[in-house]
Amino acid sequence: MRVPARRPSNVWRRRAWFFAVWLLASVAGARPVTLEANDSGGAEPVLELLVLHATHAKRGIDPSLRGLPELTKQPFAAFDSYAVLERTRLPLSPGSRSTRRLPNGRWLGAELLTMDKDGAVRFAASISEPGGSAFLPLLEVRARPGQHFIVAGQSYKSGILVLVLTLVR
Amino acid sequence: MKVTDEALMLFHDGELDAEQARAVRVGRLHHADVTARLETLTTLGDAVRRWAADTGVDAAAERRTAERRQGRRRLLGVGATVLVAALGLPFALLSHGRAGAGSAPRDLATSTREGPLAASGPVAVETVDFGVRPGAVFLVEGEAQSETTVIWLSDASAGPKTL
Repeated sequence: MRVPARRPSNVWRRRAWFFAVWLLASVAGARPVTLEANDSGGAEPVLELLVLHATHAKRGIDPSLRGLPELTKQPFAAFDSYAVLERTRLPLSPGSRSTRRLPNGRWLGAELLTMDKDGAVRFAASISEPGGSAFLPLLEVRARPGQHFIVAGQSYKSGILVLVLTLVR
Repeated sequence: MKVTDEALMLFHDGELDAEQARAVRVGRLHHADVTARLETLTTLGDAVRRWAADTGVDAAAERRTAERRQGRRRLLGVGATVLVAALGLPFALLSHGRAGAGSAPRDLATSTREGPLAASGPVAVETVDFGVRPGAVFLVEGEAQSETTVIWLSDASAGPKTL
């Protein structure tokens, strides 16, 4: 009588798969997939990053920020001066991270997760220290084109950084 | 943070629990090699699926057979556990009566991580992990009486005036 061979368990199958993956990765070599921020002009969602510097310098709010009444509300109203440091765009792509260096040396990263049929976009953002450790390990948000949100509180030159992130498309 | 290969494979297969999956997603955002390893898994998975299609291997049937086998093992394990529990119940009841403060519930662990906040305003914050620093998510009145989501990070060197 023929005795059927015993099949490996899921654990062994996984281990075998891991070995195959490791072998493939060793041959192919891992390649970095981080992208520098730039506007690709394609159909992929784009995140606009507005970097503001909030201080107590008594210089008022930059006139170009009149469309942000949030700055006159608490806790942002605790600072009397808002200056625009940078305005840039980060394309959002699935599986690859767009990054931008912030004025304080940290890195902002963003990556597309999913695009819904109703136009909403889910994406992940993070802020890393210059050495690579996480300052804000993970932020996952769902936004529609035109909506914005604010990430604030990082110290910078006698004030704080206020990041206004707008999903452009 | 080191993401193990096994965790990556389970993540790729969608078999990690929510907390472990979040850890892998954090790894993806901060370490490019994690993304590269996941891409390799995807490439390999596609190759295996092509091979299965070419050679006529019915993956679904294989999976069903494995699941039936696993189910039988689990049933056997549950049966053995129930049997041991039934035999040990009288001893457990006796010791419970003497336990006293030992039966008090454990303190909940504190965490700065927030769960889904899907209805928190115009932009929904689904997950936020502040790491070792405290942080807050709140709404501020914006343009035309709409509300804007704010993620406030507490930078230790910023001093008490930041919030």
